[in-house]
Amino acid sequence: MDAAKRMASWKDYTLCSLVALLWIVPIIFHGLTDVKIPYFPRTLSHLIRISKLFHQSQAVWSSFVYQVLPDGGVWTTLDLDDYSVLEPFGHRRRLDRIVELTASDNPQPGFVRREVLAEWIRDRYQALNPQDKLLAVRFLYIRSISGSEIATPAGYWRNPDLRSVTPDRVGLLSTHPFAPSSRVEVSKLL
Amino acid sequence: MTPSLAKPATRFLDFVFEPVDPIRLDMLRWGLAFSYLLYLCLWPESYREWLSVEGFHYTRDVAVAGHSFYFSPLPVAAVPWFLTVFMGSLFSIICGWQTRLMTWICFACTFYLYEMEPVTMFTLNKLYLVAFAIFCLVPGTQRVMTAGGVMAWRQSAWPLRILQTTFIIHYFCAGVCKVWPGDWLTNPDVLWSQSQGLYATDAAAFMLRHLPRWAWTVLQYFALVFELAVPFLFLWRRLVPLGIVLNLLLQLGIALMMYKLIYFGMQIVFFSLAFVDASTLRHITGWLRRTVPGVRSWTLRTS
Repeated sequence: MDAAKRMASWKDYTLCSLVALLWIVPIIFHGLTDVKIPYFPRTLSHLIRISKLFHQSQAVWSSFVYQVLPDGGVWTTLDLDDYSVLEPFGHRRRLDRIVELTASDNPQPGFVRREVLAEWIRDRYQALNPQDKLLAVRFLYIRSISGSEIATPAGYWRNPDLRSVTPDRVGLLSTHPFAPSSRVEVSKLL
Repeated sequence: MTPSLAKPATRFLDFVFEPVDPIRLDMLRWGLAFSYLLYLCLWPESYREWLSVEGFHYTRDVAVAGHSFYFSPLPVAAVPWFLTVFMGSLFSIICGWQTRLMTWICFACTFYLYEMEPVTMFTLNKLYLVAFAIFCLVPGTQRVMTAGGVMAWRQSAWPLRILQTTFIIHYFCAGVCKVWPGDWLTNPDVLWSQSQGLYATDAAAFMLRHLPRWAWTVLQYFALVFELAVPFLFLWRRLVPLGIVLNLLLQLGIALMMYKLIYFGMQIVFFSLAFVDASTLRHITGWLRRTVPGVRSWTLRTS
């Protein structure tokens, strides 16, 4: 080794090789092939996904609506300010991001994850409204089509209002009743 | 190894481990700490949701990608303490106080967030995690005689090379993903469509109303060509200034058109400091030291 040209101990060679092996090589491989690296540690598998950003045109934008059904009431849209205020990136809340991820999952795990979220919404709702008993929570989505509909807005993106969209743009992700006895009542309202 | 292969391999190792002026890594650490602190200051009303049991967090039974559950959300009362330590470590790095210890603390806090809350871990968070992990491993500086016969601080280049490589790979692979499996090459309206939805700012809405469709296509192909050309722009020394300017323009455009992506842009712009010539950085920091009172941390190790 030419000492004048390099400044490195065995520790530097070892650390550099490890970082190259666990970070540089995987981000190249995953970035170029979009293939999951077999037997790679779970934490690192998630970490190396850094390059797939805005890679496809966006024909449809989904926004989500959270509704609750109080005992003796009708489906009511939640004011999300009481549940989630964090907007990580874009005009969407952290809960929207969570539901978006469940919507892109396989149907069954996605449903189970929303079930856990629905239970959390119930607990939060009942802490805020102790007089009400919740029968169910449901998740709706609204589809906004890129193009003439939303390409010329007057300002930044705002989630469409459920009352002002046509029924063909609204879909039900899932409904989550909380007690067997409430299932019949909920089914009447669907 | 045959002589024909040994020579390029030796040159490559010389390049990776050569002694370099520590100012580039110092400036990069300073820039990333500064942008990270600004990014964390973004959500004062939402720390409790994000960090504590008050917000929604998945349980072990329904883990999402990246979730390990080694760490739980904090109790509500612990949130201010955590933030004090986390933001305090970043502030200390910016001020040049106990840099190595504070870098470890910052890395530990970032790792905790990464494991505890994968839902909001984006490329930006991942790059901070990796950058601060590498800053933790940075070897010490030594005072050596330079080729010009002057004593100066020098440091092994490998952490800098790793971060430079990360920047180049990140951009280049982002470009490749847009070509395949993405549709940036075949669909001239990708950027136009992406500017309409939930990322749209007032500026994006204004541009959507007033720019012709072909202008969006031009911007789209500018971004794509830049991303694919990043290896040439940042590896060929003469083109580095052009690369830095184009990177700045691209990130400014993204920040203008996409809500809150300014924090990602700031990170990437500071990342490009890793390619600025050390003597230029010394001129800039020297000027700052002379003109802005209190600025001294960037030049702590300079001779």
